[in-house]
Amino acid sequence: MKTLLAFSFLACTVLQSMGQDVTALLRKAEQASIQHASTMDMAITNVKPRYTKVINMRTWSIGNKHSLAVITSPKRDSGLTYMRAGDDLYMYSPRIDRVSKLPASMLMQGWMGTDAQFDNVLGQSSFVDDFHHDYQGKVDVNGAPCHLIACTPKDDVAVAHARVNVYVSVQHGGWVRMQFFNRRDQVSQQMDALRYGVMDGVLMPVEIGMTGKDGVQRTTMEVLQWRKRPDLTEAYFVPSRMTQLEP
Amino acid sequence: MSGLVVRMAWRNLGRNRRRSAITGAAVAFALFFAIMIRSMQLGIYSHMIDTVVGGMAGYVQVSDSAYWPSQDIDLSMVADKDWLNQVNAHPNVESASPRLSGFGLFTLAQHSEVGQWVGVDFTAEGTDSWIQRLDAGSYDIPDGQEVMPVWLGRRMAENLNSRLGDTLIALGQGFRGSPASGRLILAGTLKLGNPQLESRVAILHLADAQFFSGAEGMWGQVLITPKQPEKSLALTPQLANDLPLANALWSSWEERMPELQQAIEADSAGGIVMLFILYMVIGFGLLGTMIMLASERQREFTMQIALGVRRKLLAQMMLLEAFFMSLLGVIAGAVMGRAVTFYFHINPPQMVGEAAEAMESQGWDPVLPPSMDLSIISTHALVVVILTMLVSLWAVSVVYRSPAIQR
Amino acid sequence: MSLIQLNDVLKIYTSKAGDVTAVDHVSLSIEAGEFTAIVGPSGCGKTTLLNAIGGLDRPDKGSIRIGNSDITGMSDKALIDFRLNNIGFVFQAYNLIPVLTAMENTAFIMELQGVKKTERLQRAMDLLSAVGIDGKANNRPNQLSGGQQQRVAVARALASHPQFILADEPTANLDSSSTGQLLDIMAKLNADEGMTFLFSTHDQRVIDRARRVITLEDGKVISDVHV
Ligand SMILES: Nc1ncnc2c1ncn2[C@@H]1O[C@H](COP(=O)(O)OP(=O)(O)OP(=O)(O)O)[C@@H](O)[C@H]1O
Ligand SMILES: [Mg+2]
Repeated sequence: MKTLLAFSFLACTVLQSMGQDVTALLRKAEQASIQHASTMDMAITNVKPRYTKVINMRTWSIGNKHSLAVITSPKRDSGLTYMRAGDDLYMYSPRIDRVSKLPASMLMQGWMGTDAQFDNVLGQSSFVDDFHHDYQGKVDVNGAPCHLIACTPKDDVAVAHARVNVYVSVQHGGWVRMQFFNRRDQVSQQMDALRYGVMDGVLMPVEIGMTGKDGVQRTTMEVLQWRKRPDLTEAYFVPSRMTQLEP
Repeated sequence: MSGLVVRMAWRNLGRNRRRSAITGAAVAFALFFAIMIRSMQLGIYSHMIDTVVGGMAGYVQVSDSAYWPSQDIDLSMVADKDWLNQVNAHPNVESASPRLSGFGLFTLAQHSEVGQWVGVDFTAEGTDSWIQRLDAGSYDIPDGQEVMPVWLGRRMAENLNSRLGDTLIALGQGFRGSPASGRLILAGTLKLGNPQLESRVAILHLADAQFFSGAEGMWGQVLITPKQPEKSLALTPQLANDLPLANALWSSWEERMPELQQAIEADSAGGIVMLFILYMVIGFGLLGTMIMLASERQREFTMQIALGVRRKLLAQMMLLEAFFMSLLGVIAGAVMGRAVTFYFHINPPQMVGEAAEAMESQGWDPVLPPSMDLSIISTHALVVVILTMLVSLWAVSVVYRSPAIQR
Repeated sequence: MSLIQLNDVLKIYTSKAGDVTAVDHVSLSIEAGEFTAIVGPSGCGKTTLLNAIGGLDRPDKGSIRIGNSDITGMSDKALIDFRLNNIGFVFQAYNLIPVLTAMENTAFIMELQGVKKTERLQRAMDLLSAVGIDGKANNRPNQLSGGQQQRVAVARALASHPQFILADEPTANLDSSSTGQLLDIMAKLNADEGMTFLFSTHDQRVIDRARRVITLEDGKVISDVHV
């Protein structure tokens, strides 16, 4: 009896300390690409049954909620600019020479016909603050050992995902896979960090694959160039900026 | 011989003028009523079909096999003008024209409306039908200019608080992931006979629509109006066979809008049941008259048989008499029916109150334009004549049962 | 050979009240050119006998021959055509066709026989003048008096060139002057054209004009007198 009590006390402590570790683990995994204000060139390849389309763009971002992206190719779309400033979403089309505010609900919708969401292209959701984290043990992803962290939303917050599984590399601490579950507990989207690389001295995923509801990976995002931009501030992300960019 | 029969049958009508007149009037009334019911019913149906099917969805539609029902612009088909020319040259085809459509958000100042933009080849579709639909504005705006002219359903134009010449901003999903965006100049507003269409449709030049959405060289679908639109369903597989196009789906409107087709059939059946009851009532009325008439003539039949008149001749005479009686009724009924439907054709009755609201809520203009199809008259005239002839078989049986002597 | 030959003709009406022998084993012959009255009390069987001779009703027994034809064996349809071409009928109630004029009524039978239009109009006109109605040729029956209607009926009966004329009480509905006129016409046609008349009557003035009087009682011939 005594031993049992002692054991359960021990178990609680271990779990509690582990809980703090899990959140730290997640925070560290998310940090890689958002800890620095930066500019980046990116190519997004979308392979559909009827066509393959490569979109090139340049982005400016700070943190995970401020980001500006201008499309540089293909020609038809070049100059098209998207911006996220906090919870606001904007689009600028040179054709109509106008900045349009997009509804925030667009964040979780497919971006330009790809399996990437606006949220994936413009910043990145964080699962640190609004979610409970449960450590699920170690799992192999593509032959590399990972910590599996299950994130479930806290009761009082409204979020788009019913559950998110984040796989964090044991080796380098970066995320390797994120699985987003809908309310019916089906995987609605999956992101895989296909390749890690060092850009401007920072280790980050440089190739990310997006898998949609149908389980087919059709969209890959590749970081072509990434530079720290310590000069950027949140004040940079104002709608008028969008009309001044040269693609 | 037959001259005698005709003369006697005709003169027999005059023997009891009042009865002949009342019988003729019953026939006339039945026919008039039938013409009114069917003309109004069929008129409403063809109004529905014309506005929704003829105007927007097409009697026969050809699209990529995956296009329907999502109408995803990415599933558009590659424009094939040679094939389209063949379609237009087909003997059963009145016209064929490509369309390209998608969904978008239309904004003017503070107002935004979600709508369906439709690229239309006005020359291929025949300007006449589009001019008829014009509520305000014009089509005299050159194609392929800097500005893209747009013609909005009049309710949508109202909802946007827009005036002719205003510049709207349109945003939407374009072809293969490109966003569709453009500035559109309001060149006109359209009456489309269907409030739902009028509050959501935005018409563009086909070329503008292709540019707007980035779907250059693509068609969403090709709409075909057959020479006999009422035969669309049967014609569709034949056209598909005659005008092969790879990976194409051919469908007639009945297949694409079974609800409309079913609603029409159900409603039409209701009307036919009503007419059936009307015909029953009129038929029994006529039968009563015929029984009376035949028993009045009984003595005469006997006397003529005694004189040497064959029963067949007497029977012919009675049938002919009934025929004349119904013919007079038919002429009167047809003239009245035609006159009234013609009046309503010129001044379509406008529904009011709850009925109008009910109709509007189901997406239809609360107007009741009658059908001017002459076959309605001929069909029901025939029904009425046949009914009269059937009833007059009673008199024929009396003739054949008549003895040669008075008992 | 006589024109009409009845051989042992029997007609019995059966009813709930009991059987009535209307014509009781009658044998008779009528020669061409006769002007014969059949007389007898009411219910003695005159109408029944004339109907049998006219092919309107069938006897239960015996045979009737007219000219060369035995009509007792004919079908209904054949009888109709036989009547059309061989027998002229005059009824008590005139029985003209109300929608036809006097002229048309007279031409009616000829039209059924297929006589050509000019010929039949000519003959109808001749017959109407023979019966003294030519002035009212275009009147409909309801515009004629009873006597005039019955004269038209005689003209109609003659029109088809029948072998004889059968008249069941032709004068029963007529006043005495009309009766006289009609009898004059019938007697004249009999005398001038040799037309055979066989008629039934109650009227003594008519009986007086007949050249042969056959008296029936209870369906039996009780006397047969040539005047
Ligand atoms: N259809 C019938 N059914 C039953 N009995 C009949 C029928 N017709 C006639 N009779 C009977 O047959 C008999 C002869 O009738 P018929 O009509 O020949 O007499 P009739 O001499 O012509 O009399 P009338 O001078 O009154 O005309 C009568 O007793 C009559 O009641
Ligand atoms: Mg009698």
